[in-house]
Amino acid sequence: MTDSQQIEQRIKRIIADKTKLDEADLHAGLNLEESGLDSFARIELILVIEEEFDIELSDSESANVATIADIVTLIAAKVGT
Amino acid sequence: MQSSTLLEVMAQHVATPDDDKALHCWNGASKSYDPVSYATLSRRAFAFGARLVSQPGGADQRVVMIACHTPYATLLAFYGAISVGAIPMIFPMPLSLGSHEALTERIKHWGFAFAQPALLVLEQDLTERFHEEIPAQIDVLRVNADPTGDWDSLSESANGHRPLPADVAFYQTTSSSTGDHKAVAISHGNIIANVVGIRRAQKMSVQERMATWLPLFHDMGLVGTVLFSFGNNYPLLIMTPTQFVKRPALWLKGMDQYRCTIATAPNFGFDYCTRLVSDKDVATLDLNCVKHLFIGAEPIRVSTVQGFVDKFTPCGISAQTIRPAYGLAESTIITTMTDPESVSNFICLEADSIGINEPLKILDRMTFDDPKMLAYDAAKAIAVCSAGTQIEGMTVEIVDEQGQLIERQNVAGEIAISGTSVALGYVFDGEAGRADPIDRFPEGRLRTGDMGAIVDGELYILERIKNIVIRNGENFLVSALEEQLAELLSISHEHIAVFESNIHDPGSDIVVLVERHAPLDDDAVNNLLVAMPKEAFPINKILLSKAREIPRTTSGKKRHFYCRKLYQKDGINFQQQIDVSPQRIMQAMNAVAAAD
Repeated sequence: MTDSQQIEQRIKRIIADKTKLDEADLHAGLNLEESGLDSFARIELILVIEEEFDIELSDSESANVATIADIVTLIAAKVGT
Repeated sequence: MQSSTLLEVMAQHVATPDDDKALHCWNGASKSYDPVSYATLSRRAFAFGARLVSQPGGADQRVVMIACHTPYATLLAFYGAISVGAIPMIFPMPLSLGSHEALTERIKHWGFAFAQPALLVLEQDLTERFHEEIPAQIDVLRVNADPTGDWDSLSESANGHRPLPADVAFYQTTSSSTGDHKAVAISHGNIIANVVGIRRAQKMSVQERMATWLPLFHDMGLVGTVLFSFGNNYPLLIMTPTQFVKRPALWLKGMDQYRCTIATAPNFGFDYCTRLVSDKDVATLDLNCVKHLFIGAEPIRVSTVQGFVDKFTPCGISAQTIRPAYGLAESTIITTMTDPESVSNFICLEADSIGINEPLKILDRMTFDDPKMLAYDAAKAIAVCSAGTQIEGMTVEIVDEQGQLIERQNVAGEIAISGTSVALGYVFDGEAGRADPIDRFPEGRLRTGDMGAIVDGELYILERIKNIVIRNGENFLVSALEEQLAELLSISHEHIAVFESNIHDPGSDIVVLVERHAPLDDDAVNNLLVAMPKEAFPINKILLSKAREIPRTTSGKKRHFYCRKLYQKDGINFQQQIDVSPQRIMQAMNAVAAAD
């Protein structure tokens, strides 16, 4: 499993935990709005991700993620995989 | 001498520079505040105004749309536009709106709403992908977000602009979290009247300091904190809403570190701190410096105040620190405030007695430091905070549904306001390019859409007549959503009402009542759930009923607050109830995908 795949798996687990959705229903192209996360819940999600990966995301970086794949790309760039 | 316009305030800052009077912007990378004095900020804003003037099409009376993440860049563009007679309008960013598309849609709407295309100010770090979505006819100006960087500066307006107090200063978008396009025109005179009125009502000194995380596209954030501090020469610590949501203790630590005396938030901000600030942080915080914690919301929840005071009493917060206030964008921001020299109070009402032109059944009266309030039973009575009395220059009255004055005290009706803080009018949202883009408010009383009563000379906010939903401190105008749902259900929006089931409970269900609709089969429900607008706030239930279930006024207008009353008493006769949880939507998406 590549680093990006591992990141995607961890992100899916975090989102499933937050939305109470089944992790198997989440796919890389899923839009965060479609997973039931409103703007407030998205900020909370960003915080959990920051703590999980020990990174800091600026407001503009946080705003640029629409899908799970976007988050994976951003984190992969931040942690240098 | 008292300034009469925001431009005179800027000139005053430049003429009397003082490094202590500054905007302190939280820097997430360095974990510290970057200060920029009001004199320096004003000089840089004058230079930014010069850039606006040099744009093709100039700046005079031109609308400047500001879409920036950082408070510093936002305010540089805001003051810069004001300095040259352009009209700034601050937009919420994608993180608040839910998507880049929502911001783009807003830019496209307002960009072409005026006689001359509006100019757009963006921060340097916004993605190229986003920039490509902006129509080519809209000029874009980039601004550097770093307050410590190299900057041009000027000591006065680049084009010699000298506004009058009655001239438009800026456009305030309202119900900013939905796709609805509504804005209020605020004059220079409105701003000065309001920020001076607040200071005098609270008997504040010249040495106050403030801390905020409120969004600048919101009236409470822009006028209630930023312009209030700038206009009264009070230092201001500022962070973004995202920074606050991630780490709410930062707001309180900033107050402690900089010995701040004033802060403002809606219910959400206080509840959030009560819930998430750790006991370890509480043990180290010293908030004895804080004299005014303004809470503005409709309604202000007694449980919110109770919880916050209980948690932060060890830090020096007392019941007297909490200062309920009432305001709205149409009154620039503040209309009434509670007395700073006494403990705020609330009344307990029989819930059924709340209705227009109906006398209130008051069961009890208490102050926030009354031990009796622990015995208050939310199931039996509604507790309503006093919002105090009107600030200087304003008049508050109660009217019935026909707009006739209700002179008796203790009788509920719609709150109507008049005076120096009442805005010029709504920005016209119709035929693009109209010569005067403002639908001016008529002389006399302006109806607010809020229900209240005057009890013992003080205003109490009881209910919401206007059809908005407030969640996490954000206002959502439901009319746009009603129209979208109407289209999906092939029915007139007149037969759909969206309402909060209990405005005193932040977690209560958001309900859609659809009348004149037969029950839907499983496939139709799945298709509806998949097609529902996702950028909207979370709907919890859809109720399908027969005709004439939505309560209406004699002229046929929907009465959303009576829907709420009926719902609370299980008084809505519906034929089908549809659950709208995220799990149910996901199930619907899978079912529709499988069918395809």
